[in-house]
Amino acid sequence: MRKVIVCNIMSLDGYYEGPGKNVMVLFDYRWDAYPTDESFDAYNAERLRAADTLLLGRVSYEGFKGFWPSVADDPKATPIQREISRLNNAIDKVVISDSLTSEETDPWHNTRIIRRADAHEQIAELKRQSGKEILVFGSHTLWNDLLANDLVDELHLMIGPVVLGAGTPLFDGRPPISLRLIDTRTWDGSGNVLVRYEVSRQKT
Amino acid sequence: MRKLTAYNFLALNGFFKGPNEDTSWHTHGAEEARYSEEALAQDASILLFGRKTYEMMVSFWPTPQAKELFPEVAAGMNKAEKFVFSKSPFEPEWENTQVISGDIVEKIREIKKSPGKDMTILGSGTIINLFTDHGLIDEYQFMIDPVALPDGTPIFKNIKQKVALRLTGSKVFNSGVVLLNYQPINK
Repeated sequence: MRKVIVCNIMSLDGYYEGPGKNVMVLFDYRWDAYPTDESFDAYNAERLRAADTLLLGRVSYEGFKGFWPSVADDPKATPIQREISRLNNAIDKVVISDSLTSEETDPWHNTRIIRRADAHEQIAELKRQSGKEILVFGSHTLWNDLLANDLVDELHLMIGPVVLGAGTPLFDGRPPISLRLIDTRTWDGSGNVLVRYEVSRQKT
Repeated sequence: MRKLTAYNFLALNGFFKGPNEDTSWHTHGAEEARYSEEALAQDASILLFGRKTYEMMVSFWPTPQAKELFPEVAAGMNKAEKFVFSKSPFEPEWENTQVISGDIVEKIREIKKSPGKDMTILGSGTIINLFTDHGLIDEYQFMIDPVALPDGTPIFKNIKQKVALRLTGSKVFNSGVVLLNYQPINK
């Protein structure tokens, strides 16, 4: 039985991204106060090393695919970003989408497309297989649905040192979610706090 | 210069009150109560509330029930010096309480410049938003519960601009509550 682990960054006031779906506002202020902070990249790489499947919604998949493939060979990228790029390129990817076609997965040919109607059943099946962790980055629409359907095992949230006041909420307003704190982590030279939670299983 | 701190219980998704002003989701663990007791016992801060939070507090802390459930915290809350912000003046029934009305931003600015105790705002989302916009808050302390609420009142709502923060401390409680301390960076 494998775990589905959701790994996301959020603002202190619970936003997934700022107004206009701008995710960069979560990082803007960090560079001023914490110019050498690599904790977000370092933790993402740590999770990728522990996973063998990257599970994504279409928007995050296309965003990542438009950015990460070439970073491995970019001399201007940091070593940790080049590692993330290599890990992202190598890992098996699963995308939940009704519109994406296999031609559109280039250059990430190790991508499997699952239609939305089959998502719960197929993800439950993936969880039953043996292997490493199933990792979700971004993809808040997808994982809120999985969370409501008891298919998420852990939430690893990095709380960034910024209050946005507006934007896309991280949680989409489903029934209350009870969590159990696993642990927290902070880094020297970073304003991020990693809080890791186990999702309390629903009683059946 | 006196220090002004905002101290609040938050759900993981930024709400300080759930639907219908519900705060029952907050874990009132023994360890958190001890933390509040210790903070109150130092008697280092004047407690500040908006009118709504004041009404909630005054309906609980002076009662026999509060004295029985949380004797130390109740004693501390009752004994502490308190300011309540209100659009119109009223006669407060809670001991050691002073009502501040009128231009509260200007008044707090003056009080911060005058010598005296530090101040801590409890609850009071409206006041926190107003004072955040005017750069009056020196530190934010949030007790974050391991729960995401479906809806409620966000602690930050309609603030004029984003607030960049410096993380100054964190503490984990056995209940799974995480205390995070921040200072605004533009200070």
